[in-house]
Formats: sequence, structure tokens, C-alpha cells
Amino acid sequence: MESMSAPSSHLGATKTENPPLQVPWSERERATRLALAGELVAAVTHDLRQPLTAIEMNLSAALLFLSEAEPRTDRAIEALEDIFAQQRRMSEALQALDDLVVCREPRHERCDLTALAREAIALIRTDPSLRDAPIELTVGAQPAPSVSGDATLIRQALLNVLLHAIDASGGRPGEPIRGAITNFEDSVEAVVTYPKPVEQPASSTGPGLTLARAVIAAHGATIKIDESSESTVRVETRWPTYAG
Amino acid sequence: MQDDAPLVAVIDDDEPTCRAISRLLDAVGYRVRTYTNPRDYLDELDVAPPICVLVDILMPEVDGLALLREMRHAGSDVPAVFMTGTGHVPTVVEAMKEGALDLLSKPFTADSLCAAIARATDSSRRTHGERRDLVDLWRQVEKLTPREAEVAALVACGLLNKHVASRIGTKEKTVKVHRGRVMQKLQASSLAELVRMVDRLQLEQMPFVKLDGVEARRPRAADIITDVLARERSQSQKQA
Repeated sequence: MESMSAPSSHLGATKTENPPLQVPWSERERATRLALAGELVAAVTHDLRQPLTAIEMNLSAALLFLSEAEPRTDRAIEALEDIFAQQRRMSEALQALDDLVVCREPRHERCDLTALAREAIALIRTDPSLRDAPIELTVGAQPAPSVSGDATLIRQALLNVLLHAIDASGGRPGEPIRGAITNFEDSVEAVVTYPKPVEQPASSTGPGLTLARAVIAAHGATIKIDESSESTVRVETRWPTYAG
Repeated sequence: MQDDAPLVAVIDDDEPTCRAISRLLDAVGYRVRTYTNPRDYLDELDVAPPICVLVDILMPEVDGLALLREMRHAGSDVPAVFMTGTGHVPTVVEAMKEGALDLLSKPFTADSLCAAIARATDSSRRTHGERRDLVDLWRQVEKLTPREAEVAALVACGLLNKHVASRIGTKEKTVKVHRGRVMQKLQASSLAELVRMVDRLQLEQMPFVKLDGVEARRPRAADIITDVLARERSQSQKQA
């Protein structure tokens, strides 16, 4: 547990002050991810409901087209082709869930951090209770270079940081949660700044942030939470650029 | 597809879902227009209004609830069937409060979709029929002079000709003439029918309605009739 009075903490795979994070992809980390499965299931369920609806409609339509006195086979074939497309869509949604829940070493591939941040925000918008959360994302004039890592896990880490910010700030009206992607020489910085809670201090722990920390550590990236400002909390993550 | 088949508007930001629903409704005999952006539907609100709209609740920019509010604000009372991909209870409650005729939870079956659309179609036809009757009544009432409108209201209140004459400060004979013209202009065959017409004007006091995309305004004579009825009711309450 981090001290709430500490103005900042800097955590990374190479740091020694937080030994549990040095264990790469441990069972402990997997358990943390499973604890978050409930949140994820809601998002994945939404992703499955759409293609399931489309498949049901297309199947029924195809049967009706084929049972007409003069069967409209061309329309039935269109419907069946769409069913294939929707089936693939469902498989991808399930694969995304599988990637997250199954214990495995993270991949190291070329990832666009800006795109992943946008996807994380879009995921938040699929939850009706969070869709109006005031999140503003600023990106630099130059496109951010690719970072090295596992896109599914990085997206999840960014999502968790944002959910933590929404949770901690309590959605104060007129005070947005600000995200920013900035380029550095050998890294890309993703920062989330949110209003400091008035009644109780922001918790810099919790299953969401713990998972984010674990993902960040496994990627050789760093996370720093700065609560020294009176009005805002700044969560800074730095990701190494893709070296090929 | 027949040109006179009922038109259904499907509004869902998920294009494959929109296309699949459109395909099914086409197969069962509806004409369909699809919109992946609710703004496009609002822009076409007055162009051949559909018999009902099938709207996804959760959409970016304008969600289903906001869309329905904007439709109602613009004077469109096309029945709405909502679709939802979440079981978010407050959203569902809000949808029903906003006047959703039905709510389908994704994934739904083809049968449940067709049943909901059929209910919405029936509701739309019933409303359209009632609206046509009201506009027909307004057209007849529009022919009345202000004095005839007053006489119509007083007669419908059950007053005898001589009492109507004293109320409006004229002779009984003149009232008889006005009364005859009222019955003729309104094509009322009996006092009971006149009372029903006046009751309808009293019940439905909206300033205008849209019928087949055309706005019809409530005539001044209808307002005179309801004003006289209100005055008479107030007087009789005081006497009681």
C-alpha cells in the first residue's frame, strides 16, 4: 500500500522499492486481472450483443427470402455472407477477452499509443453510466512514435487508469479528466490528470490501478502518480518506443 | 416491395445491425430507411414520415432518448420502439418515461421484433385515424362565425333557445336561425352528435397537428366554443 501523504511515487519494472511488481506475469497478477473480469464482461457482452442480433435477423431474413414463391436467392446469399462477417466479429471479441484473462507472457509488437488511448475512451463510452464522463484527450502535433508491447494489455492499462480517474474524481461537473500523449526521445508519455476529490483523498491503489501497474511493469514502462497539487492528481505513464 | 407498404425507419450506429434488421423487415413486407447517424433522420423528419421508428438507445453524439425528445419537440409523434444492448435499468426506465412503445433487449428474436413493429404500426394507424377525424372536425368548425360558435357551445351545454338568447343578448328567433346553421355547417344530425363534437374540441386543445406531413391549425371558432364552455361550467359551479 502506498503512503497517501507521499507527493509522488514512481514505479517500474526495474525499481526495487516495490518487490511484488518485479515478478513478471505472476499468478498474483493473473488473479488481479480476473478480479476485473466483471467490468470487462460488461464491455465484451455489448460487443457480442450486436453481432448476435444481426445474425438472428439475417438468418430469419434468409429463410424468408428462400421460402417465397419465387425465392430471392441473391438476397438470401447476402444475408448468409453477413452472418459469416458477424461470426468473425464475435470471435474477435472473444479473443480480446481471452487475451486478457488467460495467463501468458505479453507480446512485444508495434503499438500506436494514441489509438489505444482513443479505444480505451471509446470503451468507457459503451457503459451508459460512464458515457457522459468528461474526458478530453490532447495529442501532440507530430504523430506519436510506436511503442513496444501487447496492444490488448496496454489498452487495458490505459482504460484502468481512466476508470480510476473517473472513480476518484467523482465526475465533478465542469472539471474534465484530461488525457495527453506526448513524444519524448526514447519514450511516449501518456498522462491523465483529474480533479482531486474534495471530501476524501484519491486512492492510488485498488484493483484497477494494480493491474495497470503490473502491465506497465511487464512492459518496462513506468507509472508516476503525483498528488502534490492542491487541485489535481496527475498519473504519468511512460512507454518505451518500438525499436524493431 | 409494394410502394404503399408501411415505412419503418431504423436508427442504429452499428451498420451491420442496421442492415440486418432492414433485410428482415424487407422480407416481411415493410419498406425500410436506415440511418447510422440520428442527425440524418432528424434532417429528414418531414420527408415522408415513417409509420414507426426503431431506435438504438446507446449511440454516440445523439442517443436514442435525446433523438425521441427532439422528434417530439419538432411535433413528430411517430411511435418509437427502442433497442438496447445493455440492461442498464435507469436508461430503460427513462426510455419508457419518454414514451417508448416497446423496448427490445439485444439480442432479440425476429418474432419479437416483428411483434413490436406490428404493435407500433397499429398504434400509428389508430393515431393517424383519430388525427384525421380531428382535422375534419376543425375544417367544419372553421366555417362557423364567432356568434354561431357561441350558440353551438351554449346549445351543447343543454340550454334552451330562449336561455341561449338571453345569454348572448338576442332574440330566440335569431338563435333558432344560428342553431340551424350550426347543425348544417357541422353536418350534425342530432343534438347528441353536436355534443360529441363539442366534447372532442374540449378534450383535444392542441393548437395544431401534423397530418401526412402537413400542419393543420385549430380554428378560432374552436377556441370560442371551449371558452364559452369553460365560462358556463364556472357559472354553474358558482350557482351550485
